Amino acid sequence: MTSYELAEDDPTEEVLPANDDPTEEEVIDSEWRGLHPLSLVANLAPRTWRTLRGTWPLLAAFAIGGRRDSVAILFIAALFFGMAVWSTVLHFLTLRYRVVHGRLEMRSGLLNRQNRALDPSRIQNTELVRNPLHKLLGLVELRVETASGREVEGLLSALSEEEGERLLGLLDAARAGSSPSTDDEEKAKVLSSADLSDLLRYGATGLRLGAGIAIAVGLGMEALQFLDPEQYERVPSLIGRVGGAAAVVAFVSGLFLVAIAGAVQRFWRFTLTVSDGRLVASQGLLTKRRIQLQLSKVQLATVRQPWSKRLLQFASIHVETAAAHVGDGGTASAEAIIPVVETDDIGALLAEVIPHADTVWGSELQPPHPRALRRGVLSAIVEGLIIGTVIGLWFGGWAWVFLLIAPIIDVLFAWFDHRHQGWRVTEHLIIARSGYLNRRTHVVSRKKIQSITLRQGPILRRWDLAKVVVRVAGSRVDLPLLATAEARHLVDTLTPQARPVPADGLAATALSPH
Amino acid sequence: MSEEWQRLDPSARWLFHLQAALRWMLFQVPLSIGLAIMVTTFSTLVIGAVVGSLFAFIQLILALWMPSLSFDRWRYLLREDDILIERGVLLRRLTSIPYSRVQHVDTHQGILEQSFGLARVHVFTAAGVGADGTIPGLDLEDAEALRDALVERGGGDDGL
Repeated sequence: MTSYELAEDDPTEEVLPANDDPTEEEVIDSEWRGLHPLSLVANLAPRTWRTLRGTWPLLAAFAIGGRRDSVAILFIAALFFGMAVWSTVLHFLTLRYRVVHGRLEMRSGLLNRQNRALDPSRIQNTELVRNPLHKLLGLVELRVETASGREVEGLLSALSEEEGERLLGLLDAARAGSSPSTDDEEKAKVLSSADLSDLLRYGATGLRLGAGIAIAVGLGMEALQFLDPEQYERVPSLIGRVGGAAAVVAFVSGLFLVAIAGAVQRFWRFTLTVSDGRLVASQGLLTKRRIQLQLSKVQLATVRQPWSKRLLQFASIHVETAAAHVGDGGTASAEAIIPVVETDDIGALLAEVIPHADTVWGSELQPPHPRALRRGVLSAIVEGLIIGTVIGLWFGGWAWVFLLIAPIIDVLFAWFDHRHQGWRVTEHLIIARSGYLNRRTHVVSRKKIQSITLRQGPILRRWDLAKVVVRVAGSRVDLPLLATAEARHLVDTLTPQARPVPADGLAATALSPH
Repeated sequence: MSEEWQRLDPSARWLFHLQAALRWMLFQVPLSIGLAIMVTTFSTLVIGAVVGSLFAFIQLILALWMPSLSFDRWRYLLREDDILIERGVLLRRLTSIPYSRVQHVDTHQGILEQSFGLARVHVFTAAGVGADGTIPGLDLEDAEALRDALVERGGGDDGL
């Protein structure tokens, strides 16, 4: 085992009392340790990249402009780079960590010193990452996340492989309240795995990336028009030479290949195991990851079944803890993604992650209120008119027909979407399903609810409808639109401690028109 | 505390009005001027001025009208196991936060609130998107009492 001890004694260091419990003795490691010396290389590369990315307008001005003040611009860029080097060296010299009674303690900084202690009971998940540079240098990155924020709270960016495993073992043992286990691999039950054919299916159905590339191509063309009008003028003739149809085929094929390559890189040799109440996901081709999370920390499971996955009879399941981030309209990241789950196996796998989920998966869900369709149709008509107008203004002439076609298509999708929404509340769970093209089903344990909010805008109020938003730590679940009275009832009955409504309260006056 | 809907301190109505007036002067008037300039570039000065003035006038009406409605609609209820907070004029919201889920509670006094002797209470859970519940316009003592009551009733399983 490699150890990088702190050279000087720290006078502020506390001497912790010896622990009488022989079991806990095994997870005490009070020696302060530092990052691996090669962290200077491993960290400098990404930090330099970040610096370059941050100063690219300056560098671009220097490279393209050739202006008289280009030396000054280069000097500023060099200054930024120097700061990146300095922060990397400082990070290596000042970051120290240790594990005391399972608690990960970290300190860093020279002028602004920071001390951080992560209690094992608060750890939501841990992750070991090996990117290509780490692999080349024989290093790993350890990430420890709690529920407290949007960043990785415990980040040890470059440890030797043995040290990373040892540290992870200590933290896991502390979380589980036992000594480090050596035969976890033998006891582990494999819940899911993915071979190359699975990843091909997953990648081929995950073409959302295509939209990003299309936008990038569009922006590139705009930039080309601005930077080099002559080259821009040549683009149509180049496309003409290749042939429009061939270009389209090449573009779509390229998107497929990129999506598949992305899936293979991310989920290569994916396995999900469970042992001692802990989920472990191992995956990755160039960057290998091992994600561990306690089953008791799982906040939400989302089954993603877009139309393409339904066609191929499988789904993806995202498992989230409180460390997940919330984005617009839902969760933006998940700690563990199970890329391919055959449709028939979804219930059984969900039950391993969220107790009782198998009893409700596949059962009939309650539909949204019939009046909710009005809201969907209204939104679709407005959206369709906007899209149709934009197309008409852009292309002119015959394209104004989209002013009629776009709303009709949008309304059709709104109707499909409405038909496929559903929700159900059981003694233990809340299930909410949305979307036709991009179907998602959220499953959350009622024990995990943090708050419940009922929302009503003017249009919903007029139609006596309301939206219920259930928040768990790190995520939220939106139920389909319900009648106001039903939504009010849910606000009272979904909380962990259900109780009756006060006589003059919710049922009578809450959200009543003043 | 009794289990009755609690309303904001009466002086909060004037605080809301003052805040709305300041918002109108500092943000909506400059926005209206910007809108007028933008419209002028596409049409004439007169049309730009009319559009900008109309926008500013509508915002002024809203700034005069909304604060009272907002004050009337904001209320909270401490129940045995959770706190209910109801607010909103156009978009109405009713939030239930179980005490056991409360991570921490803040009281906050801005400059205007200090001048009125009022405070705002922010209730945070582990949902992690800022305060899950906010109650503005409380008398400072009431706000501190509410904060202490929420902290005292908290504890237990936080659902993490």
